[in-house]
Amino acid sequence: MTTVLRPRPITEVTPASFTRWNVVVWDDPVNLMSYVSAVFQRYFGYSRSKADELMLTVHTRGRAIVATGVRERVEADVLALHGYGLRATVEEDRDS
Amino acid sequence: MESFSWRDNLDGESGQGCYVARMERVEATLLAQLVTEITVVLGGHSDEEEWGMVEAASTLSRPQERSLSFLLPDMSSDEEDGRRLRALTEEGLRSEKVERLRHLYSDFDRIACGEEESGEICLSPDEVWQWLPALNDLRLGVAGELGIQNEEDARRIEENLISDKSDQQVRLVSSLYMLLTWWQDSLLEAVAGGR
Repeated sequence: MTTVLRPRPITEVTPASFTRWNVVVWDDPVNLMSYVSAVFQRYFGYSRSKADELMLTVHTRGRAIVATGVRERVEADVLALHGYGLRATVEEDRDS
Repeated sequence: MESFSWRDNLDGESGQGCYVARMERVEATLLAQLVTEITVVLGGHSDEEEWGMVEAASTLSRPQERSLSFLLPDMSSDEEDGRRLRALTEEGLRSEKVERLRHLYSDFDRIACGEEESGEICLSPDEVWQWLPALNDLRLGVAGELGIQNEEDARRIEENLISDKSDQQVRLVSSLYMLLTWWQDSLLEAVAGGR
């Protein structure tokens, strides 16, 4: 259910009436950086450099927004990332 | 225990092969036992006969809430939202993790029960992405047991191994954690090697 490759566009066209939501990934002391990057590549279909960049942001800033979209999609993404063992949360985008 | 490496199939067809690591029977036995314990933490109702669970001294001893919080974390920083989402998703996530751990168990059990002193783990490119998260769940479970909450705690694990003050149980679990970390890293390196 949650470990299938789901290539997705990096930006999604969202009707103005829907708020945008964020997939936030948090740093943790267990997950290997190489694993986090591999998961971003596998699940989101990101390039290696994009995945590494996001992983480094998670690691140095404590958290990073790794994807955005409508609420249901973001919830599904967070669940999928939990399947991989990452710490992720849904977050309403303040600027939307 | 060997690090993982790619091995092409003998029929010479390039691109066909698997990620291979050889391990000792005693290591496989230890890891099979650990998989069983993490499965119990996840509330997996394993068939006792099928899994050969023995009520001997277990590797994990502490209350299991911390391991569980690592394995099934919150989906939202907002408490109410988190509760709602957990109610919707937790059962499915648990059973997904338990199912993946079953595969891990079979692989270890095959070697543990084999006639040879050692055996090979051989993962196809498809199987790798069932194994990696399962291996990660083992690490998360053990990290919970060790009380790893931050980077400093993680560094402490190495010290546990050298210090005279750590008791035997802590040393065993710490070495298990470091072994699993190294092993998962080797598999990730092999996968990143472009196969």
